[in-house]
Amino acid sequence: MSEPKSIQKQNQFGAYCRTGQNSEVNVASKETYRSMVLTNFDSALRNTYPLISRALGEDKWTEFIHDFVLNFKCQEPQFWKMPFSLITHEDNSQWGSQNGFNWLNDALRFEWNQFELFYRKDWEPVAFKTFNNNLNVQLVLHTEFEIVQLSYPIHHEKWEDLDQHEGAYFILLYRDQEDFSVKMMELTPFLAVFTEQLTVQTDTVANILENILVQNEIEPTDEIFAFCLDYISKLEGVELVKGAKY
Amino acid sequence: MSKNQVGLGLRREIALEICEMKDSRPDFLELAPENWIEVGGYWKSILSRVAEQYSFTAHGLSLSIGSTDPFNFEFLKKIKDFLDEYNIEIYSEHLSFSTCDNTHLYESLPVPFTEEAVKHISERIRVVQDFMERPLVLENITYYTVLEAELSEANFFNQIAKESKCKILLDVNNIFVNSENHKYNPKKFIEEIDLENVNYVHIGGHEATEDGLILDTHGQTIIQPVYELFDEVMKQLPDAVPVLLERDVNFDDFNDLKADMSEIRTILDSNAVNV
Repeated sequence: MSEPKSIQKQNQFGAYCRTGQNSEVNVASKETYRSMVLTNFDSALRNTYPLISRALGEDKWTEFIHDFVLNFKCQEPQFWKMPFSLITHEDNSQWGSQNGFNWLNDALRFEWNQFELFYRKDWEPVAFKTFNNNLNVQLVLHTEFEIVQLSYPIHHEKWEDLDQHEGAYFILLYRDQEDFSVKMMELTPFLAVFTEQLTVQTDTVANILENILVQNEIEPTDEIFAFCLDYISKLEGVELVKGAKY
Repeated sequence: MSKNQVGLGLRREIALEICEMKDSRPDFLELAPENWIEVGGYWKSILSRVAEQYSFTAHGLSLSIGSTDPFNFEFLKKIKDFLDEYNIEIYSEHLSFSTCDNTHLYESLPVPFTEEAVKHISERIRVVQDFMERPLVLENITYYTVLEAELSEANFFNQIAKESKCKILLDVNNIFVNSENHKYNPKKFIEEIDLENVNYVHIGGHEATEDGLILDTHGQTIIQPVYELFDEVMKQLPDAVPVLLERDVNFDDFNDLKADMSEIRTILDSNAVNV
């Protein structure tokens, strides 16, 4: 069934506000509304992606955001979560690589993960006991962290010549349990895999470690186990590892 | 919530100050559920502190009651749970649309003042009210264009409230801004609107642009003509209702907010015999 005429007009107006297209929309102040919509998107996205907006420069940033508003249908009812949609848009459109910003996808994930971690819903505590350096237990980790794999060193302060430093970088982002700030720790590929497996596997630390070593054809040594114990101790220090499962 | 109270919008910029206020405290706070649902960390800790001290009203942002898009019931359930968790009685929203073609625009856009829209919006309000198990309270928004107007804005609002049994959030500043931008008498709007359906009032500041348009920015102190209009509303309201001071930006001088709240209280007190 077709929409009533006045509601059709409303929808044409709404479509204009998002796309800036459809010259048939004859509504006073339509440019004001279009500008308000764009400003809302722009300010929220700048707030979430401050490094990217600066690195792209004003013209390219504006072009990128207008492309997003025009082509991506945001389904997110919570405005603070809307900026994640920019990553989905970039995945679909490859605007970054098409415009010579190969690092854009990495940068979006890095900045979003920091932003989201700051706001992320709190970990719901479960019972745990003291770890006591016993590798034959399953660890309890809280959920306020993220492992980010990057192809460019976005986490370094200097963003010049990022293309010349393409590689594999692993960052552990976590929320400080005292002041709630988001902090980072650089990881080796081995520790990134180890941390990820600690999160997803329901197995003891020793078994998880042995599986990783077998898969990577690495001979188990006391040094490796000591190294991992030391790493777990670091994670305990920042309360990312809460303890051992009962 | 008991009536005749003066509230303040809970903005992150002033959340700590609100927690630590010793005098001239607001009686309640208004928050946008969308800004707090599923939020943890620092802001969750602040919200918990605030909730220990104040009761809340809710002013939603994403319902898009005027839209033709289907409702997101999964998210409506989250709002409902949030309202229940914080024991919030008043759930208000905007009489506008903010989604189009299943896309969020994050802006309150005006709906046409037509019989078609009355029917369409009333039906959607009933759906929301049934789902939320509480009346929806809808606000008169500022609009910078009129899409179509078979009915006056006040009559349009009245018909929707009558058909849907929703309540009205009367934003006095918005009446003033619209009357200036569209050249009508704001007192006539107040005479026309069914004040018995009003159960919540907003008041705030605005800003004039260089091209003569007045924008509802909620960034300035309240000007005298808006206070006069507010006084008029308070004289005519059949029942006392909670009143909220809206301020979204410009928090440099918290004393401005205290002064506005104090003036609102003075007007409420002066009309106490009438409400």
